[in-house]
Amino acid sequence: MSEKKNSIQDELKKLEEIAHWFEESDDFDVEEGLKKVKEGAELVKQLKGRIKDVENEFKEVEADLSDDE
Amino acid sequence: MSHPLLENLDERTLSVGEYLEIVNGLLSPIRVSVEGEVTDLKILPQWVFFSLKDAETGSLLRCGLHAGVYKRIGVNLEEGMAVKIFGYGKIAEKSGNFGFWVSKIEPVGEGALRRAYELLVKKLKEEGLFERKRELPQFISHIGVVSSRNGVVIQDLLQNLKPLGIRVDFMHAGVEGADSAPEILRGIEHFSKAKERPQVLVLIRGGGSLESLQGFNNEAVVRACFGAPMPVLVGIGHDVDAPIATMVADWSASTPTAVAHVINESWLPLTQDVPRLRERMITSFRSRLRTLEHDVDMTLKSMQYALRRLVEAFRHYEQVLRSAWRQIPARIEQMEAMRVQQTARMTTAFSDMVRELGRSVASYERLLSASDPQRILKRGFGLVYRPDGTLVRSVKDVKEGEKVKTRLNDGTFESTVISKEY
Repeated sequence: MSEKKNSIQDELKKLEEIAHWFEESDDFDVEEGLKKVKEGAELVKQLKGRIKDVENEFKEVEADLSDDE
Repeated sequence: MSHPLLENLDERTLSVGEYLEIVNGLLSPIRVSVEGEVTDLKILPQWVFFSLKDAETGSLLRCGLHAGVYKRIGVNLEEGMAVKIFGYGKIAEKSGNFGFWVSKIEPVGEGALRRAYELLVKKLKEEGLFERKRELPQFISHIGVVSSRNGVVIQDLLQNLKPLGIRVDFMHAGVEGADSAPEILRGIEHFSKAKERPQVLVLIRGGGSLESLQGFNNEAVVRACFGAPMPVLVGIGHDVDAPIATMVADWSASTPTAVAHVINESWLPLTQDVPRLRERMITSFRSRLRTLEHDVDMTLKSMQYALRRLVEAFRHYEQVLRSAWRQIPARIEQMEAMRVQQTARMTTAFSDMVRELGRSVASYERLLSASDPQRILKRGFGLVYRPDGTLVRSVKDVKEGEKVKTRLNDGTFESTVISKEY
């Protein structure tokens, strides 16, 4: 489960970096910017996918026998 | 209570060992709860012993349990404490002493409960267990819940969790009274040791009295919470005394709904930040494009301006050419007229020149004829030549006796110089 979280954090970080890149310079190259926008849009799409309505999974678990001393 | 040894008891003679075996055999299935005061408490490394005293009669029951079991029970005994213990009696073979083997301990009465509570709080506070608060992970997608399946709290939790694909592993445990402690403990341990470990552990139950919430004031339970490998979220309702599990938790609230909210909030960076970052990115890009558009626009405008001027210049030249073209016939006429004029003038000038020339010629003719030697000769003059043909102009040119030739108007004659005279 933690790899799901990690990749979310990675993607979020990348998106943050892209947004920052845009704000850093006033006169960035448009073609470069277009590339980054596409990258950013892809990230946004993936990240939005993670918070789309996905049902939670409920499961009652039994204690292992080894749990009892 | 049938036992092979119990048959024909009155007819048999038993050994001490046999007798004790019978007695213990009879006693061990009798599991009871006994209430009394704790006295003569001895807490040893391997064992815990105490005497349970009947407050009214003063009777004593010697009790014992393994130190490990005592720890797991999680209730701290104190001299004079009113407790209810559960277990069975047994006579030790070696000593012949009657002992009660304890498997459960419960403080009795509000007083005992409160005292146990306060003592434990003090002890754990000194150890610093209430200081450490671990950060909750972001994007919580797997939780382990220990609670009662019979309460409404679990429903409250599930209904308030956003549908974020969260895996909720649930372990049922009684949450009421002293008996809940081992079950809660087992739940915490299960998730702590699980192969697929949840990101957080959740303990929830409704509010209640000190007696009702005993399980969550239990030392073993509380230490297990502290020692859990993942952050622990506790949502237990309480009025005045916060359950100790709440104090030791990494995050706590008094309702399961609040717990659900904090889990949802762990996704906030995603739900908030993503749109925000998207906005920042797009706004910057748009503004850049606008600047570019503006630049392009300006360039275009100046190009248009230049082009317009070019066209104007062209038109002007076109006009000039056209008007010049239009003027050509007139010009030609003009030139023709001029030419005619010139020609006329030239002709006139020429004729004048010719006339003049004629006049000159005539005058030269006259001059010439006036200077014609023949005319002079006709007037009687003669030309004298020496023998070599040269003309005699002066008397000096001839010598006496020299032959000379004289030309007259109509011929020549030769003569000799007789004398000279100047």
